[in-house]
Amino acid sequence: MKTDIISTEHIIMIIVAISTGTCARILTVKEDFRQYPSYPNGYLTNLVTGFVAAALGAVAIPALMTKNFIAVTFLTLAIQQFRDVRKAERESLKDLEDAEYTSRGNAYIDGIAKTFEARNYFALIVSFGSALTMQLINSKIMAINIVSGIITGFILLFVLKRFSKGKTIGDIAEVESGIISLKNNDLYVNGIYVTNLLGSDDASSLFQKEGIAAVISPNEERFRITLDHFGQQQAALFEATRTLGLKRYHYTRKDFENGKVIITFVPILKDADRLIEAIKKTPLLESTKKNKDVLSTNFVGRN
Amino acid sequence: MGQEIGGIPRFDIIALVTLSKDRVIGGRQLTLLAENKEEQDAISQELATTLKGDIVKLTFGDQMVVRRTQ
Repeated sequence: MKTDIISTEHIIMIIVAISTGTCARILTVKEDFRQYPSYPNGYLTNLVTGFVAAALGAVAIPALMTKNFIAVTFLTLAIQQFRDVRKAERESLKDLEDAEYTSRGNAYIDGIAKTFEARNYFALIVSFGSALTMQLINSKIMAINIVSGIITGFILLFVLKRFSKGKTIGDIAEVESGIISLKNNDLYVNGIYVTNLLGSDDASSLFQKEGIAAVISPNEERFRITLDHFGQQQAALFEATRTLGLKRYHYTRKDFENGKVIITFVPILKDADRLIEAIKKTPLLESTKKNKDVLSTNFVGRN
Repeated sequence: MGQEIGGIPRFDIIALVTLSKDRVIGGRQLTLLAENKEEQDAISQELATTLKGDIVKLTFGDQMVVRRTQ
């Protein structure tokens, strides 16, 4: 009967691994300027799924050590669970599309959902690595096992975070404030034609007085491939309008001749610095990464 | 030279407000004949405000009230 009961060492291993894995998820849930996930319900959902992921990673080693090989197949549950996390995030964000100032777009939503899925893998890998280290070291002094498990977990988290860190628009393009001008009810930003939809005096005077504009110029010709992607521009517009709010009108335009992209709208808060910052920090979507410089990544961080 | 991102945007022409009766022709949109420029501006403005559309002033004096659908 006693052989069926899990040993103290394994209990400690599971607890340490679950704690490290859950910690990894806590550290990767960040509420930054994008205000997502929303506090506190979004936090809780992600922390609980992170805990479950960590638990799945933590019990794999004890299961193997007790010759319970079939039990390891529950890792497939983890895969299913994480796919569900991605699906739930995607559905949730799509439901919000009509309620936002401008839409995120499918490409951006896909990127966010994939990130949430990947971060659950962080929790699983960190807890699994932590448990594996404790098993391999197998010192008679339990404190050594615990400390080495925790250290391995955090090293793994550091490497995974750096590896999965994406680039932003600021890495491949210059973003500067644009000068708005109106000629015969046509809107121009830095002399580039944007729209003729401001036909009424109210619209043109509102835009002239309160409008704000940013010009994104690719650092190199080949980065136009990324910047010209519709989903990428939609993501930049979304981040810009969410940061400053949107009173009325939003237009985007790309200039064929030099690849510049114009983003202009009437914000609630007129702050050019925040606009530039929001656009610069917009992540490059995975689906737009079509050249080697943007695609390349390494284990120690950005190039 | 530029292009609006997102491919081709789609608009509905809600109304055409003109000063020339020769341009009052059939179609899905509402076409109104204004007596003078002041009346034309006022009609366009009110229609745009009510129907949440935008006004486009055409080169030869007509005004279109349009609404983006996509």
